[in-house]
Amino acid sequence: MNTIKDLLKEHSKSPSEDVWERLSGRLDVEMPTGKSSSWSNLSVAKKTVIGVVSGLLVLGGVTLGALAYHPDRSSKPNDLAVLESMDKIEEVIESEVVEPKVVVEEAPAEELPVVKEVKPVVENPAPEEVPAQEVSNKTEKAPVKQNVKQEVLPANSTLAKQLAEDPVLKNLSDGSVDWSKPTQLRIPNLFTPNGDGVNDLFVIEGLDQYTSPKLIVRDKNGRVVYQSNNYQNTWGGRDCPEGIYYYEFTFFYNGIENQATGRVRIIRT
Amino acid sequence: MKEIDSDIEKIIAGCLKNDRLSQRQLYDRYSSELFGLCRRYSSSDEEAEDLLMEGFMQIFKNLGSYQHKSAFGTWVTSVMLNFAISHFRNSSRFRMEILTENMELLENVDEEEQIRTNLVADQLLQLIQQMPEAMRVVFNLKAVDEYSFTEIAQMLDKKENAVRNSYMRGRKWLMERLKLEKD
Repeated sequence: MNTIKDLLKEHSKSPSEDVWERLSGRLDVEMPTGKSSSWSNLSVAKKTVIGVVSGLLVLGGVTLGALAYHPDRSSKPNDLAVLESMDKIEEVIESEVVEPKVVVEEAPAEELPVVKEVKPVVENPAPEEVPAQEVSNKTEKAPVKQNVKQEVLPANSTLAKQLAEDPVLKNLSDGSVDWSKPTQLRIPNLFTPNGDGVNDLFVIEGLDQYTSPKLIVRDKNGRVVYQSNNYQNTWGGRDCPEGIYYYEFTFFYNGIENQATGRVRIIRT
Repeated sequence: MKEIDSDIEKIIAGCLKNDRLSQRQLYDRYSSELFGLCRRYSSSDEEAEDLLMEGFMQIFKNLGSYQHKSAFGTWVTSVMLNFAISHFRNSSRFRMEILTENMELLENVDEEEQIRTNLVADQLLQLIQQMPEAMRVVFNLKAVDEYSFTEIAQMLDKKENAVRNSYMRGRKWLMERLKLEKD
């Protein structure tokens, strides 16, 4: 018998190669080769100088502030020292710090009034093409006032078979959902923008409970394919080929920032 | 992890220059071990990979602040763990769980007593991944990474009582399922 601790400390599996590809893509965007990282490239000595001088600046600022109230300026030499060191800082910064160029592709944030598509589960119990998705690594379901019966894909359909075998899409629920918890949201792990009017958009249910809903979606190379600071369930994967995408959904609830991250697959058949 | 110092120094120097090859080498050296960490905190291997990837971005971005005061492997692990913790702290699901936990104290289980099992590592890991999120994070921090309840309460910005409860609940959850697995 082994202890839990020992077993959990074993590491037998390596991550898939995708991880390096995504990482490398992100590095290309955020830390391009050829340009040194601004902060990390400064030697420890210079950083210490900057740190100390910044500290002096703060003190100097406090001193100057204090001096404003005290007419006897006997500490004048200190002021000069502070001012001189300020010049030095500027010198250091100009010569050493190179701002990394961040290239972020931004799809225009689509400004639309509250879209009807958000509500179809409530008002119009139309059959969804995909069973209610409860994936273990997703946050939970939306607060919907009435119980809605959701139809499930026929088991022998091609799409159903594909979904059943897809490693990303396991743990699909049978359609029974608990609508009783008002603070939860439901994020799909799949949508099908094929123009049939069903699941054509990436819809986060329960979105309207939260403020400042922000969404960032990246592709498998780490590039941002969609971004919105006020997401209104309008992303339809435009210009995105089929495949897995990675989202970061941030929102405020009761003044506290929350985040939900995960994967979503786009299928266009 | 055994490290040859000059090797590591070269890799670090290369990474600071954003040399992709050095970054790849650093990644290759630590990704397996760190993936293990990510797997036991996450609810699936996919989530673990996402966490691993973002965590490595932090490692590369903060590499300049490594002061050689600890072994490099230790530093790398702590960056990843800190990143995982802040990821879960901000996670809406984690928050919802802690919020809905009721606060009554469970009977006092000896927190030091080691749980043993006949399961192999991967089986146990899959079980752990099924634990509710907040419970799983607390369980890992206490039982595997061996932080104190006080430290865990600070890291997660929770009351110490809530953390203790979460841990006791986690042990109970696990032991019930280990008993089932035995049959």
